[in-house]
Amino acid sequence: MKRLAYLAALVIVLLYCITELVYGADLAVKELLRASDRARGNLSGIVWHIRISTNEDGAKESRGMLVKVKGNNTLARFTSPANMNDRMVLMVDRNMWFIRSGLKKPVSLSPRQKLLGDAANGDIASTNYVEDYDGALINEEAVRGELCYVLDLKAANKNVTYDRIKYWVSKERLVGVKAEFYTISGKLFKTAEFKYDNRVKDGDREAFPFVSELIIRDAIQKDRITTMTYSNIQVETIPDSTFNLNVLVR
Amino acid sequence: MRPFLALLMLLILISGSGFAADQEQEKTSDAFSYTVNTLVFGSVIDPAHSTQNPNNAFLDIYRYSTDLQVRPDVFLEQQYLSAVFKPRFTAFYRWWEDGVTKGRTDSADRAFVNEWRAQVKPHPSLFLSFGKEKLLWGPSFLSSPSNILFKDFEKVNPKSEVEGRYLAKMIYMPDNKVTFNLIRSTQKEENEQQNAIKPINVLKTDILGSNFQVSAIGYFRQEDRFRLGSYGQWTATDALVLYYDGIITKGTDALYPVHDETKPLGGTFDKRYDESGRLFTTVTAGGSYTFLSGSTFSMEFLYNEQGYGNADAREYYRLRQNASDHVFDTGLLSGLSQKTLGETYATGLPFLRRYYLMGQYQVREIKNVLDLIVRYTHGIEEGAGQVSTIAEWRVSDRVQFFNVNSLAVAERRKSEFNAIVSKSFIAGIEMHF
Repeated sequence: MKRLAYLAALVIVLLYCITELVYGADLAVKELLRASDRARGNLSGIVWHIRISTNEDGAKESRGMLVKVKGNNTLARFTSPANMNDRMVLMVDRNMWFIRSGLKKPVSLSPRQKLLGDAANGDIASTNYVEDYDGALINEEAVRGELCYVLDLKAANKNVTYDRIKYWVSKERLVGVKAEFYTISGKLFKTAEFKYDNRVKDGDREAFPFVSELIIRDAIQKDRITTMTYSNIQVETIPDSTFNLNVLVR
Repeated sequence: MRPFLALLMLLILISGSGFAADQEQEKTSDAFSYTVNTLVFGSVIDPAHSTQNPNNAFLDIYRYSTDLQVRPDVFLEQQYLSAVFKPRFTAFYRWWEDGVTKGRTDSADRAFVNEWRAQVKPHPSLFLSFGKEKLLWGPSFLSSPSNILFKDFEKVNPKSEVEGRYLAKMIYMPDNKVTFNLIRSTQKEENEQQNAIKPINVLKTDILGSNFQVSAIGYFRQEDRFRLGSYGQWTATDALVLYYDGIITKGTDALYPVHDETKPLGGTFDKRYDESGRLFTTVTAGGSYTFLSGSTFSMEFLYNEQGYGNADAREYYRLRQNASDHVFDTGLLSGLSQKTLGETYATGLPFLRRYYLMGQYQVREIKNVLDLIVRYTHGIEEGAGQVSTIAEWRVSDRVQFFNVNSLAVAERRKSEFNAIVSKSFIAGIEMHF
C-alpha cells in the first residue's frame, strides 16, 4: 500500500512537472509573440507611412500609403501614385473593404487579395500572431549573425492570411527577423525579412524598436522582391469612427 | 461653352499646383485635399434590333460618342466638421447611325454639382449631415436589392457616375459593433400622376462581428408599402468571402401584362400586386474566392420573386410585339403603342424574370499595372445572358487607359439582354491630377 502511495505521489509530481514545462513553454512563446507583435504595429493607436515597391521582370512599381492602426483595425489610404490616391483599404478585424472615392460602393475583399507584387491586403495590417496562431518553440538558429528562437506557428483559426509560419524571433531584441509562409498543403510560397531601424515611444514607457522594412521574396520566382518601407511612425489616439464604413465613404 | 472654358483654365491651374504638391502627398494629415480626374473616352453602341426599340425610334440610341468629363473632388476634414464638394463638367459629341435618326449629330456640355455634403460631429459617436450624395451599399456585384434609394450602383460600368440625391443623415455609433443610420430623402419626387410624394425615411442598422457584417434596412413612408432590406458578408476564411443582399416588400409597384382581346393591342399592363398583402423577396447570394495567385472568382445567384413567370413573359413579349408593330401607325394606336413600349421598358422590376446566375473572374495587378474583370450574367429561364469586361491599364502615375465592353449572348430575340443594346465598346484615358 505504501509503495502504491509513493507511486501515486511520483506520478502527480511528474504530471505537475510536465504541465509546468508545457504550459511554461507555451507562455514563453506567447510572450515572445506579444513582444514581436508590438514591434509590428499591434498597439492601441498608431499612424505610419508604408511605401510598397516591387521589382517584377525588371519593371519597378511602387505605392505609398498612410496607414492608421488601432488594435485589429487598419485603415490604409493610398497617397501615391496620383491615379490611386482616391483609394482606401479598410480592415475591421477580419472584415475588409476596398473603397474608392469616385466609386461610392465599397467592395468586400478577402485578406488574401493582392495589394502589389507579393504583398497581400492582409500584409499591411498590424500583426496579431499572439492571438491568430498557436506557436511552438522548435529550435534556436542564428539569422544574419543574431541568435534567434525558431517558432512554428499554426493558424488558430481559418481567417488568417497564412496557414503556417516559421518565424525567427531575436533572442536579444524580441522582434521577428525572418519568416517563411506556407500554404495549407505545406508548400513554401514566400519568405520575409524584417528590419527594425525605427523606434517608437508609447506613453511613458521606454522607446522600443519598430519595424522599418519588410522584404518579401517569392518562393518560386526568387528574383521577385516586394519591399515595404515603414516611416513617420506616430503613436496617437485614433477615434473608433476612423474605422467605420458609414463615415469613411465620402 | 463658356463655363467649360473657364473650367479648363481652372483645371490647368489646379493641375499645375497638383504637380508641385506631388512631393508633399505623404503628409500625415491635411484638413483640405482634392483630386481631379479627367476622362476622355469614345463609345460605340450597337442598338439591339428588338421589338422594344423598333427601328431605334423609341429609345433613340446613338452609335458613336466622344465624351470629356472633368471630375474634381474637394474634401475638407476637420475635427468637428467635414465637407465634400464634387462638381462635374461634361461635354459630348454624338452620331446616330441606326433607324429613323440615322445621320443625326448632337453635342452639348453641362456643368453641375453631382454631390456635396456638409457634416458636423457634435460628439465622437454622432455625425449629422446634409447634402446631395450617393449612398450605395452591399457586397453584391449583380444587384443591390436592399437599396431602393439608388437602383444603379456603378458596377456594370465603373466609369459612369450615379448622380446624388438630397439626403439628411444622422449616424450614431454607440460602440464599435453597432451603427445606426437615420436617413431622410428630401429629394422632391412625383408619382405617375405628377403629384408630389412624401419623403422616404430609412433606418439602417449595421452590426459588425470579428469576421462578419450584417445590416438591416427599414423603409418608412406615409401611405407606402412595407419594405425591409438586409445585406451581409462573412469572411469565412482568408480567401473566401460569402455574402447576400435582399429585400422583402409587401406587394409591388411592378407592371404585369394582362391579356384582353377587347383592347387595341390585345392587352394592357396593370399593377397586379399594388394593393396585395403578398410578400415578395428579391435576394442575391454568393461568394468570392481568392486564389494564391491573387485572382478572385465570384459567383452569385439571384432570386427575384416578383419577376415574370413563363405565362407573364409570353404575354409581355406578345404585347411588346403588338406595340412595336403599331408604333409607326397614325392616330391613337400609335400613341397607345408608345405608351405600351414605355411600360415594357420600365416595368418597375429590378430584373424581368425570376432566376439569374452571375460568374465573375477578376485579376488585379497583372504585371502590377493591369486590372481585369470578366463577368457573365445568365438569365436561367431565358437561357440568355450578357458578357462584360472591364480593363484598367496604368501607363504612368497619372494616366491610365480603360476599356468597358458588353455583349448580349442571346440566340432568341425575346430576351431582356438584347432588348436595348446588343453590344457596346467604351475605351478612353483617365488622367489624375
